[in-house]
Amino acid sequence: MALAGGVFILLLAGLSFIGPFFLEGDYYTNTVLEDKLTAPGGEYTLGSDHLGRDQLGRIIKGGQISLLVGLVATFVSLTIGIGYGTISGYFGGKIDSVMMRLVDILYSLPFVIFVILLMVFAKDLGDSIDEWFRARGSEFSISGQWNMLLLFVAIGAVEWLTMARIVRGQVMSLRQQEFIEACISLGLPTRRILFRHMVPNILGPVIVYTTLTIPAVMLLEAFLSFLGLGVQPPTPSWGLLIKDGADRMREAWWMLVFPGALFAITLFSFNFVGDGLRDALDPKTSKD
Amino acid sequence: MSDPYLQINNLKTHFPVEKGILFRKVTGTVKAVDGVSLSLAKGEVLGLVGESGCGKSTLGRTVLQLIKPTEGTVTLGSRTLTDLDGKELRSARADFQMIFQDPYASLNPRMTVYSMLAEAIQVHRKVPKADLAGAVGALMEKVGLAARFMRKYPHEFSGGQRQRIAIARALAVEPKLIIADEPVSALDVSIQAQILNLLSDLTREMELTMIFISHDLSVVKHISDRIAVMYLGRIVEIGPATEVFEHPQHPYTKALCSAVPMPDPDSERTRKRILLPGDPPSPLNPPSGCTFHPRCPHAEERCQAAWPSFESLKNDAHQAACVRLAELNQ
Amino acid sequence: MPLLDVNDLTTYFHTRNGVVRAVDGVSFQLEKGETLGIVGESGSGKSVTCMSMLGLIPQPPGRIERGTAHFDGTDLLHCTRKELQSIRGRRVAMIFQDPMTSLNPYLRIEDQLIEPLLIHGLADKVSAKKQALAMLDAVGIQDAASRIRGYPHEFSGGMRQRVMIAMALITKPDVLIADEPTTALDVTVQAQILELIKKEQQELGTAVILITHDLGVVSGFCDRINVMYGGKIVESGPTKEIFYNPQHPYNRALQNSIPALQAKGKELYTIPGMPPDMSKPSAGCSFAPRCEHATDLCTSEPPELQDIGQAHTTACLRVQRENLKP
Repeated sequence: MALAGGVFILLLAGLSFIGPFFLEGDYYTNTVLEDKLTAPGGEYTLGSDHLGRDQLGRIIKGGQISLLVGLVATFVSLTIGIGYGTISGYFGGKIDSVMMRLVDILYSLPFVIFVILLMVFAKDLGDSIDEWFRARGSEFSISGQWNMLLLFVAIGAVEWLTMARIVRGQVMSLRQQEFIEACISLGLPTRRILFRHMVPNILGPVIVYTTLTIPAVMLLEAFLSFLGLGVQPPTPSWGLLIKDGADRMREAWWMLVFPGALFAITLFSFNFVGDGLRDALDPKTSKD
Repeated sequence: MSDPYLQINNLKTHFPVEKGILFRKVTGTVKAVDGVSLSLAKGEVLGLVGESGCGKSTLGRTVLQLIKPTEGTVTLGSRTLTDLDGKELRSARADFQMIFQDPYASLNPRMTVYSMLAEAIQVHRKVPKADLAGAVGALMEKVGLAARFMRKYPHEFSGGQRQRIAIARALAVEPKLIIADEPVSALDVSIQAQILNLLSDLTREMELTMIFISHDLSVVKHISDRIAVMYLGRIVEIGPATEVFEHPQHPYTKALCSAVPMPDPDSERTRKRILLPGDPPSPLNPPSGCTFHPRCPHAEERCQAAWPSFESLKNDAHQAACVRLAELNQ
Repeated sequence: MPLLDVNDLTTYFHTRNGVVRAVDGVSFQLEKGETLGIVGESGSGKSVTCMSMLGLIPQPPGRIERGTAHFDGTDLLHCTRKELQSIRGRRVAMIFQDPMTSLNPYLRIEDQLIEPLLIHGLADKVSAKKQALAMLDAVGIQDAASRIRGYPHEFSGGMRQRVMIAMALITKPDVLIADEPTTALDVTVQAQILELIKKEQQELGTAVILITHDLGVVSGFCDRINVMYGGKIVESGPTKEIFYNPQHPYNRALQNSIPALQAKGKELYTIPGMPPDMSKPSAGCSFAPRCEHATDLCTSEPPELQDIGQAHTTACLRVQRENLKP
């Protein structure tokens, strides 16, 4: 199962990231209004949408965006979460109190408001960076990618909180284990204890949570895009495609079914891969 | 006794009890170890006996500087361990090691025996990579494990074998002092004997000084030269092993000895058992004076006044802290 | 007729790693008012034996393969759920090893004590409360009238084990199964608890099965002892026979390796090797690989328990056939 999931994700990634090189530059924006809502088959393999854009092309581009958001934002949250949680849990006491209160405060901020504020203020920032470059005669422009970048930051900034809490809890219970005491007693440097003895032992729950985070992040992206805060049309993401499809469910089922099915299979695959990884990394189960 | 090698002087380990989420307030103190003085000669094995919560494990961990003492000093050889900090302490740790109770928790489940032992060997010594496998193999053979198992993970071993791995890891740094915290109580009877034999062979061969912590008097008697009995953070009796076991002087030691069930039906049915009332009190609010007085069958009013000092009857090496020591042992 | 007659009880666990033969053909009897000790190391099947009788084995992975356990005319292994429930907790009660986790932390001691009486319809609430108070008093809880309104966390380990005993005995059962009742307790508290079980047993005439790994505990407590190894009873007999006339090499080796029985400073006797892997069936005696007296016969032919006089049975082929002497 895990292998099948892994193969599927690899295929999907290949299709989304390498596929576009073989397509025309406007493969996902090419609007042919006469062909709108064409059923699958014929010229449009997976049909066309309400603006006559090729559904296959849009799914490929959407996969690119969704996977990128899912993986990058999860990676960001993973890195911050593990580092933060490990330090907080291992040192405990006052350090832990302060670090965890900070997490609580961030947690209590309403996520949507936080993201809206971030997006609104940072949008101007992106424009002014461009301004700054233009003033110096440079062609460099960041505002094209700026929204994506912000999306990563916003999602990462929220998702790491839970990760940090999970890691901290795990580390705290590990810290009570005698083998950590044995490490201290051997005179091992703290850094080595943390990253050689602690981190490998918390990977199990972390991987499980990560496989849950990737889909959660993809959903979050869909939600933000829906609010008009995430990916900006005409760039598609799976979330946006599903939303568009849901709006036209009666007239054009293919607009919902294809991206929806793909999304679901992807989420399943990530879960299977997560389970497989956890078992593979655990010496106890690798043998039987 | 020759010059003491390990000297513990009036050691106290108190834990504050805190309440509150943001602003912690100290609401009490748990006196886990409350003024323990001990000295051990080089190569000596001291058995430390007591019931759960008496502070024997905390004492062991404080001696090894895994817990910072509140007061008092620990001197090993010429070095005062309680004065060391940071890097100095880390490098000093080569001299003293601990063997833990639970061989299922004391080994990192994600490391092979080889990487675990190789890591321990390399902490304080430079060993060329090519020689490592040989060193690990030698270490494993020393504790009675076949070297060919070195690529296995802890879960592939039984409890007794795991405890052997833990012992090998402690010996990897070539320590002088070992503190064994209930090393056999998680093991089956038939395996216990194997580990006890191994420990007593090793201490003899390597001239290790050892503190052997256990709640099981008969195990302690077997392996130790001297026995110290702890009750609520203090030592109440100390002396040569056989003497403490066969002729206990302190009322608590007497009760403890009589409570140990003997695998001998005749003596078990005839012997008189001293049944102590109640449970050991909490170290959070220890009773005044002699902390044993609420459970002691011989307690008098003066027992509540102050902690009694150590006294000896015949043998100076055998001491007990009881105000009625002389009258109770006539 | 014995009160409890267990015959050829066999419980296997079907796990991913194969079939674990936890209990493999165990037979024994328990008379009214008698105290039986079941001694063995971890994994010898001593707890699983008793859990199987009470239907407490998680199924799956566990499965009772064959055998009967007749208690007062009812086969506990094959009776209906309802019949079993009317016996379990009322006529056969059990106390467990860990007093810290076997009481419900959210219920008052009183509510937990009267529960068995109410469930089995033995008393109404008022008289149940009266009985609970009397029972709590009997197990030596001081100031029982006010402590009975307390919650488990207000009690120490020894006190909780007393409450557990009170709970088990409140229905005046015919059989009390005590699974390592003192292992989690300190020696001085262990002595109190054993004394208490003995006292209550004499008053109520209850038969007791004491499961333990500690030979010291059974020596003073039990009338008869079953020694278990690898899911089978390897030796059974009156306590004195087991201790003073041990026959089976495992029983002998076990007693030799106890530090308490050996002179100080002497190298302790050790049993070589490790406990058997219960998922790998052995053709002969499961102790043979660790036995210093083992012959080819021992590794090929499975031994059966056989009477060797004085109500003493042993499952060693060499003892049975050649009169192997210590």
